[in-house]
Amino acid sequence: MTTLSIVTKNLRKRLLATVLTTLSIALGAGLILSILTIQSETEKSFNQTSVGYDLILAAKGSQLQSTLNTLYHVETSTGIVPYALYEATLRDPRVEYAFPFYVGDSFRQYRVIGTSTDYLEQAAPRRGMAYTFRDGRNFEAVHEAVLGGLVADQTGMKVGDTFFFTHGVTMADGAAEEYVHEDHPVTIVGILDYTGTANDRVIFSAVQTTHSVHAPFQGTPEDHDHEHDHAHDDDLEVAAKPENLDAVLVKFKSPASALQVAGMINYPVPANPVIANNLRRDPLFPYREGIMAVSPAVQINALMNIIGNVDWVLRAIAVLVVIVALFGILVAIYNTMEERKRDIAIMRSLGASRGTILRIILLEAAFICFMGSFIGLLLGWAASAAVAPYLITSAGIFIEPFTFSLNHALVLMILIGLGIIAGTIPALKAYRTDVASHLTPTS
Amino acid sequence: MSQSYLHISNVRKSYPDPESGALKMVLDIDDFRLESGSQVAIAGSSGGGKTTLLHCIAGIVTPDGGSIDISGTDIGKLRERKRDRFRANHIGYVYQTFNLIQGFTALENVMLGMLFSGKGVNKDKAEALLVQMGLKDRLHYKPSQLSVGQQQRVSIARAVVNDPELVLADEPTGNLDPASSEEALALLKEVTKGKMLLLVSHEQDVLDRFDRVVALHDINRATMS
Repeated sequence: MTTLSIVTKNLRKRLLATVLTTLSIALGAGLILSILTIQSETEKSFNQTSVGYDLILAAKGSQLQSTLNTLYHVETSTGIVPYALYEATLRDPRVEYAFPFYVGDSFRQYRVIGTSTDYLEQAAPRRGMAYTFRDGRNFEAVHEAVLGGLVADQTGMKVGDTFFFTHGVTMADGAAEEYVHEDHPVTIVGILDYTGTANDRVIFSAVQTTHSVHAPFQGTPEDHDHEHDHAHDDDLEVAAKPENLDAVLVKFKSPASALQVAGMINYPVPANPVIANNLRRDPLFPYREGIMAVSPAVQINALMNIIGNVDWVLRAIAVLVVIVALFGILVAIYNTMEERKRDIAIMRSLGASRGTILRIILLEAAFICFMGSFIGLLLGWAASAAVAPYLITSAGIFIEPFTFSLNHALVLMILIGLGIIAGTIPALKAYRTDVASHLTPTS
Repeated sequence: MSQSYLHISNVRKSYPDPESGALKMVLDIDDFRLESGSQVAIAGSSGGGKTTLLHCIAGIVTPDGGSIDISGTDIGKLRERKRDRFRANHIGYVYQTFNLIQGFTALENVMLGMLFSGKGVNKDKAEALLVQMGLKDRLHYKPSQLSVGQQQRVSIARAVVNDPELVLADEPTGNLDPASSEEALALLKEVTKGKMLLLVSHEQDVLDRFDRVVALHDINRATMS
């Protein structure tokens, strides 16, 4: 027999009210925690993926669309840019590295990205993180492919297996063009470790591979008569390269160079002939017509601001749910005070101090809040886990649902603290219970 | 060990009259003593201030004046927290309506008496007391599952579980049938041997069981007239 056992007995005695109040707290906590998880993981996922590139050079259009398409593997391309642009960036002394980006095929729901061999060796999916292979090696020839960790796990494909690209990419609404390039089997030569980014759900291959199986295609699948240029030589050096790409991802040696190139591409040529002549000497100047330079960092910030506004609305709703639940605690305990006055008076007559009675009631409120918060944490994790696959397929956002950060701990502590505060009113009523008048009868 | 005693001196207590609102004196005791080991019954009719007297002695109600000295401690002068602890350790209380907590078993109700004493809960001792009360098979029964006689025996066990020097009993047989009443009274007198027992009742057959019976109106000036 302890004070805590009195608390649990009191709660068990009013089991239905206890369970309902606990569940209302759990719902509020679950809502807040899942929003917190999804929001922070989304932000982390976006920031992680964008690390490593200063500019995306893509066809003129929506900058955000281009960013989503190239870095997060969602949305469609804004158009095409000449392959020569990529070659020009490789020659540009200001460029640290550049990769071609070519998308147009898929396998099941996973996109095939055509790029260079260097991509998996030099690019970083996260800051300070290199691509590593769980199995096999990088693609080194035409008709070889490397699977992202998620693709391998979801499809069950392994190194040595062959498959066929499907013409077109699956969009968020499930729509996809359907044509299987059955005359071009592709061999899986490597499987990547998980990176925790959208790159886990794509298939990497050489641009020569994607080009060889898929030339620009107009018309219906029935019309697909393979009139496009097929390069059947597997040597990447000699295989035919595409004339166009979807984008070029560029990392500059200095941020100033990135700014200079972005300005040169995105803004009109100044009227000042001296400046204009200087610009015309830029090695990338000949390609500036019809293209845009996109800073993924700027786009992600803009996107985060949009998400942030929605996020605040969701948080406000969650906070309201919690406030209602806290009032629920107050009302649930307060309503029992009248019937409990006799029990309180009995305990006081047995020597329980007012402080002990106050503590018992506050512990009841804290217990409800603690249980509600704990269940809420599980609910939050469950909700995040339920949303995770949808986010990965529709938005390319990779979230780790079962996280417990300092923010989570803080939210739970605040909830328990507020629960105790909500319990204060009934606790004070209990504290002030008159002993003699409730030890009936009197004579 | 020093002799225990109860000495009530010039204790007065008034309550507002529910109808007129004017203060009405219900207790005015000049001098009343109880010695170690004595078992005394106070006779009084309903509304005569019996419960108020016991509440004052237990420190549940604070008298308007005077002193209640229990073996050297004036309970009225203690701060509330100390008075609560003093009550838990030195005073047992048996009520007419038993005042058991309904959600707790017989054993838990007795242990509850120990919880607030600050000396720890001794489950074996609580069990032994209930066995002594003839409730060996009812340890884990809740009050609603016990007869009124059994409930009063649980109440008596709870009152003496902390070995108090003073046990107060407020009409302890008031709700019992004659057989249960006889049994409860015998047990109460048995377990309070060597302690001070102060019982208030208006039932003559209960009063007849005591060697010393004091009429409340003889000591309470508020009801003398």
